[in-house]
Amino acid sequence: MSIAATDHSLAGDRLESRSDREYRRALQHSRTVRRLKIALPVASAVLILGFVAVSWVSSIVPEGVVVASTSIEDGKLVMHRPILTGENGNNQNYELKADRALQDLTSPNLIELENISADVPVSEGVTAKLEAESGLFDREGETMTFDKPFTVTTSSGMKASLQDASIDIKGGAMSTDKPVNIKLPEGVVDAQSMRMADKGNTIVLEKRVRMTIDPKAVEDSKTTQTAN
Amino acid sequence: QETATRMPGLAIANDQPIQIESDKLEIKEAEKRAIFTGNVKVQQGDTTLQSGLMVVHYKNGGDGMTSGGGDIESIDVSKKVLLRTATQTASADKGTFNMVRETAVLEGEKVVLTQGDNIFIGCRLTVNMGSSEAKLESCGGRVRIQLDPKSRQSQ
Repeated sequence: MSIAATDHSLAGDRLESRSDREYRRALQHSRTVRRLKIALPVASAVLILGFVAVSWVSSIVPEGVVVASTSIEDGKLVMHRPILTGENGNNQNYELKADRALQDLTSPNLIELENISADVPVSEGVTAKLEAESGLFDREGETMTFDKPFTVTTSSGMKASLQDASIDIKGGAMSTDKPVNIKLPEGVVDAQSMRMADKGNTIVLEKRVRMTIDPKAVEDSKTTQTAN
Repeated sequence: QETATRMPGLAIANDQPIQIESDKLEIKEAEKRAIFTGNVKVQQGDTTLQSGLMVVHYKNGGDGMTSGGGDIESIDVSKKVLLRTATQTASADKGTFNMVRETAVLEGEKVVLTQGDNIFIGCRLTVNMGSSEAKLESCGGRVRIQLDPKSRQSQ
């Protein structure tokens, strides 16, 4: 079983800003990390020379996280442009990107994230893009808690704006007891609390639910049906 | 035996948005259903529909989920249905609004339609939401009409 050599030489020297190149290198490494996760148990001790420089960082950084660069600031490991990857219940990949991730070395499983952009699988064919100012990611429990307002946009045309929430990434569940605003293709929904259950297939809104349906949505169904 | 009337309130007033309120809403993405439960109130223009339960069946446009162009196909209401328009009210046990065929059907042991001071009682009220023609059927029995004596003189 040979470890596939990862080619570290950058293809040509296209004009790229330093951070883009770093970012691309980080992406390249996340694939490497994933491959290594599989290869390590079997692989021989030989590590590819180009990879060694990064490997000591990934040993102190929690698994499944790849960073562009790290620094230690007042007792915290600060990771720049981290990419957290993992799989949820029905092995759909999720990917969390952030500007910065801070990890208190005394509790390595908890990671504070700043300016988060996450692609969370909701159900077959539907992914949700989540953007938040800040969040606390529990690596072990694979949960994410948001204390500040954030938005979730799904590929099926829904955009939810929430004040806070706790998300079980593995189970694909989310809940909040604060007001929620959801824009759907058919209209707008407001409620005082929201739960997203069974992997995003069910969204439950409670307490003073208000929905405004856009008459165009009613009109469309009439024209499309009478056509055939 | 049926009574024909008109129910302009139920015409699909395209320009006005539909407001829906309820205690709870459950959106079932996979089944394309939105289930409103508890003090459900739907309002469009001066037409109001109230019930204990309402299920909105919608479909996303052409290629399924991702296109996002959600359209409403039909709405089922049950648990004490009360429909009120500017000039009429109708109460029933359950009802279905088919947005595609533009028909509304209210059914129940006793469907009570009031129009001004007149009260009509039947078992099924069918409304063509396009033409707003409404038909109250008695399903076997007679449509009992309670004409208010005062209203007869004014006709």
